[in-house]
Amino acid sequence: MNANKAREFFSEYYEGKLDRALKQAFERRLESDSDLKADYRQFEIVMLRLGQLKDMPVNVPEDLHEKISSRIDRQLYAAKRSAPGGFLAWWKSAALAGLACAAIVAAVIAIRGGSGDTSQANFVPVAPPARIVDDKGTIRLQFDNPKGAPEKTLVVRDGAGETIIQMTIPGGKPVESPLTNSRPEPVLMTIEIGEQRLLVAIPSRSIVPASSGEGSIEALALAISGRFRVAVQVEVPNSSEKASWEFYGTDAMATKASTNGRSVLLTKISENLYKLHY
Amino acid sequence: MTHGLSDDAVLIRRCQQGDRAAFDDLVRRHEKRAYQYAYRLTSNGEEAADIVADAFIRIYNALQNFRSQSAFTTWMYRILTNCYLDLRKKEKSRPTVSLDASLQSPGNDLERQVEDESAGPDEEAEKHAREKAVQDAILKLPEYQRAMLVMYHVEMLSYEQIAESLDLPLGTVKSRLNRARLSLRELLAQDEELFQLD
Repeated sequence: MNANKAREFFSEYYEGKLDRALKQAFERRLESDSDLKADYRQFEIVMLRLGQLKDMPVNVPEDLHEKISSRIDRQLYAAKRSAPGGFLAWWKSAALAGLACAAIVAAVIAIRGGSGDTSQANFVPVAPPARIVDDKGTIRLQFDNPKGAPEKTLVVRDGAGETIIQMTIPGGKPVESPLTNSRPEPVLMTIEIGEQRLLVAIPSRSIVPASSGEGSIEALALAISGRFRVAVQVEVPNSSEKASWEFYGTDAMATKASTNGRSVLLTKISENLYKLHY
Repeated sequence: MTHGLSDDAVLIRRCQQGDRAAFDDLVRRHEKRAYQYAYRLTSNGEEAADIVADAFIRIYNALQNFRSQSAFTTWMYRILTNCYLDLRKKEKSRPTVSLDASLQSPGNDLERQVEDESAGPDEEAEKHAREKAVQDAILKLPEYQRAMLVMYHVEMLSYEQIAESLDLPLGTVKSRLNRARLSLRELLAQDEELFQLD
């Protein structure tokens, strides 16, 4: 038995599963090869350490069940919408129930009426989380509040904290809104739906040519948005944490930044939408 | 917490008859275990929650075809593993960079000082550091090896259950697990402290 062959039997030997002849051959090789013996010794300790892993606690988030339920609800709802006679009929009866806009920052919220029935016996639907999506270059807010779910209040604020939109979304009324910005510089929009809060930097029509800067993570999002004309969603718990950054060329992914806390990651969701997160 | 097979079977039968509340109960019974498995694969709470949610959606959609020939948990592990592999595939096609790569600031230096202080001679800290080293090394392994190691050593699934979950022959599971452990030993070989016994 050579050393490589012997290594193939490490697990079985450790577990006492080798038959007598193989066990003897394995042990003979181990005794005659000090490197192999040292490797096996380390292997035993790795097995021990692996066994200790199960004692490492994993904290399960309190809202896990809600998260799962809302995802299932969203999926059921989408399935119903795409069913024949479902979405089309629903779309035909669509009504613009809310329109709000500010002179500087505009966000149009379309509430569509119709049957968003996802309810079944013994089931109270939970609204799935709102999302920011890139719809062929247009950044949109999507929120489906299924029928039977409690009504939600939607508030959109601009970077200065000014309320642009405030409205109530009843159950069964999905919302879809393009998020646009007519200011000369990018704007950080705060979107609150119930207890959910989304933060997204929406670019202006022109590029803001900064090569470096410092401020908060929110300011970093605005800087990326301005420099590369992309929307940047901020998904960090403390967006006021200090950061400094430098831009290189025309690729947002070449950005370098430092913070005092954890490393911040930049993910390219699509051509026009990026995400800052941990 | 242990769950009887028959309890799962009753709930699954009710789900198959269209009882959404029964599915909710099924989720509640298994979500914690599912999350812990997903978390150990990803080391990321958000990703773990996404994997679990995706897995239960797939389970919901496929439950009509579940014939109880295998335990629900074995089936769940299979779906969780597939969701995890799909997520990784998706992530690989979605570029992510750490922005905290090259700029140096006094803040970073301060962070390092704080980290050094925390890694003191305290026994608990050493144990934690060792566990973290093993966990970090596991995260460097190929996805399939990672899943197998977690299933066997943390979730305490037998070789047979892993074979069923991953739809692989028993011999393949054993040889791949051995290879995963050998890879892990090689990854950890530089860390002498790790190989000192308590």
